Amino acid sequence: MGGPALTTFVLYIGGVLALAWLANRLLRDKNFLSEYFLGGRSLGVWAFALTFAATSASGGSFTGFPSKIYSHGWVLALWIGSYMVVPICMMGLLGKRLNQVARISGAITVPDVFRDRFNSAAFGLLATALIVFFMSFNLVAQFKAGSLILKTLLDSVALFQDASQGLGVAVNEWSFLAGVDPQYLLCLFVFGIVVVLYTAYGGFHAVVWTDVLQGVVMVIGVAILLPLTLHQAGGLTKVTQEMAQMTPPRAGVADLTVSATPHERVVTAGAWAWIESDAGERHLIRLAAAITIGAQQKYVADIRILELTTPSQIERVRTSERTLWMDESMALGNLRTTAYASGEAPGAYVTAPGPSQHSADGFLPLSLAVSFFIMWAIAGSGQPSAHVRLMAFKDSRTLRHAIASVTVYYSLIYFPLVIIFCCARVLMPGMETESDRIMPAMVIFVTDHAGLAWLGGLVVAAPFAAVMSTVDSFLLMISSALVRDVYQRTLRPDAEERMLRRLSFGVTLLVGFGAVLGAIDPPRFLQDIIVYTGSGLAACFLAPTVFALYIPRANTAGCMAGMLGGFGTHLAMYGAGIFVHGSFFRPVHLFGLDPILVGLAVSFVVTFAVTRATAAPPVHLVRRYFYRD
Amino acid sequence: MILSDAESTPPGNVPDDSRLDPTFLHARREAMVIFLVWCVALVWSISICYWLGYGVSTTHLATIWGVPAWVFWGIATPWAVAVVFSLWFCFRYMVDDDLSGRRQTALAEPLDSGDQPEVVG
Repeated sequence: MGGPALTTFVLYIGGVLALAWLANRLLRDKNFLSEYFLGGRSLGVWAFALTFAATSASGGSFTGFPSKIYSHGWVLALWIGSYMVVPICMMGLLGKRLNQVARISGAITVPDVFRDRFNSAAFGLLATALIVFFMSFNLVAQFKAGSLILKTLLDSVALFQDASQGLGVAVNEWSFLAGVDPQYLLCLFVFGIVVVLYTAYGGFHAVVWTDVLQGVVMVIGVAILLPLTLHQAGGLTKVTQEMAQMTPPRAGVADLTVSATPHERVVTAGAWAWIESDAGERHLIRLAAAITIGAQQKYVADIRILELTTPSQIERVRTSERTLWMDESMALGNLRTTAYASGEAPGAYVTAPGPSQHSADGFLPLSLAVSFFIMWAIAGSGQPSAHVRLMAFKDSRTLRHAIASVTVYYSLIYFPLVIIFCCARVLMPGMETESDRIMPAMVIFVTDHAGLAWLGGLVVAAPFAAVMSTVDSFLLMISSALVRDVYQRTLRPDAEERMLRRLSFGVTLLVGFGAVLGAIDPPRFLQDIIVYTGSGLAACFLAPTVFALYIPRANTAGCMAGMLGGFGTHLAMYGAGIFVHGSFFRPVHLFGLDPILVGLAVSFVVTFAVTRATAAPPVHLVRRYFYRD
Repeated sequence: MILSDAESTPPGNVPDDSRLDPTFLHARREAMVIFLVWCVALVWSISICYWLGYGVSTTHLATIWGVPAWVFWGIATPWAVAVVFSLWFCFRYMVDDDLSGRRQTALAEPLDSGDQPEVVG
């Protein structure tokens, strides 16, 4: 991707920063905290709808989700199926009532709502602690996503390559940065600085306005990508038929033999090569990671590779002019691969439960399909980042129109994404080695192929926008939790506005740059982190919020117990995954159910039981929130 | 699971149910309808996808407009229905309520920690 695309992209970033500057002007002469963290509760239809949609459609939607579609095929339509009712559930189940309760209490943040609804400082602090805990993890994952997208965009720009090489040399002596890809590092710094600065400077208004811009960019990106992809893949019927013949690739290792040279050499990740077995069979493999061959080194063992097994994919790689082949002087041998645990029969990519590398039950057994249907729609209603937006719309007419708008908006995004990345399986074989990069890689592939490279900048801006809109919202939520709930309401209730203003800017910067540091060595799987934090927040917040809003008898003890019960159960199931499956991100599924289901069930039951077993709430609180006078 | 008004309202000086806030009542009714719709969507999608999509042979894979039949009937069709329902719900069913907190804030007792309730509306 060259100059024109980069120009489009830079213009987009310029637009984002200009909006932040305008937003900062709005902060003058107004109630600072209310404006900075909640936009003065004045969001109209489009601002509310698009900030809601853009924040929910996170980096996961444009990086992790495409990666999963690519890796598992059509079954992802079922995985994401409950998005048909997500807008009406996420906005309609709690929206009207939450907005009303927040206005009654004057709440600016989600912990404020609990603190005021139950008149309990301890409850507010508990909610703050959980939000900071989960969102910090998520923030790190989103920073990684943004940086990977930027890296793909700038990959072939000479200035970027020079700058990243320079950075690599400059940081080489810093032990904690040793081994970090300098290109990734440069992108992380650029992405981090832009997002943190505009969020800190402009506050909630900046986040909302940039969300609107980003929401528009996202839908335009998908609208452009869909026809281009379908055209290049030869139509959806052809794609599905070809997918029906596909067999899962094999993952494994091989050994490399080279002639010694006096210089160190690097073989790029993603390069293709043929390996001939002892039986004379030829295998097409792709490098899953870059190889560094030291000076005078002749042999490198255990190189991670992916072997294609589908004839049509092998033929496409073999005949493509774009294929990057390994240097022919390097010989690979001693190939050792393992098949997917779900089997190698064709058809897995067009049926349920879909292929899985690790599980013999496939990617989405029925119990997990039910879990995800609950997770996106119902658990989505328990997300504090959504609650903040539900506290910020202007009136109930705005809510009605926004639900309708987001319903249509999501329909234009999610199902088309399934189609686009099913086509990607046909157009770009072997991307399992770096499937988190499939979205930007696909954008560049189809726009270049169509001779519309300049369009690539705008379309790549779509996933970038999705990540940005989530990062800025989460960043602001963490800083609002610390400034408003910990500092102002707990430590210094008499703090002056000037102090709060400085602290808000400072904490937002501090949290943002802290997350950038965390993302220097991020966990590997984006979508796994996003699922963990999203489901964890829902397990903690949904039941207490429902009881707080709709049950007059709800009390502090019941709702706090439900929050802790959900948190503990969810964490225990993930923690048990370390002992049972060897990984925190492969949680135990009790009775085949995802942790979110069990966490939610425990949270609701505990909230109900403890509420019943403990004293009724003070009458004045019940009158205040549930009666006309 | 959900407590009824009779058992959920604590004893003491609370008004009778006829004095319940209409915004609360409308929001609760709308939430129940939405929950019901989600249940219908769940049953529809999961049962159709299980019936047509799980463990089936792909020797003669049925497709509609290039989409596997189980995805078309189990996801795409209810999705279209859900969009139509959502539009009806938003423009015909949901009630416009007064969300202002003025009245209640005036009645409220002081909040903790010296915080003052903010009246926005």
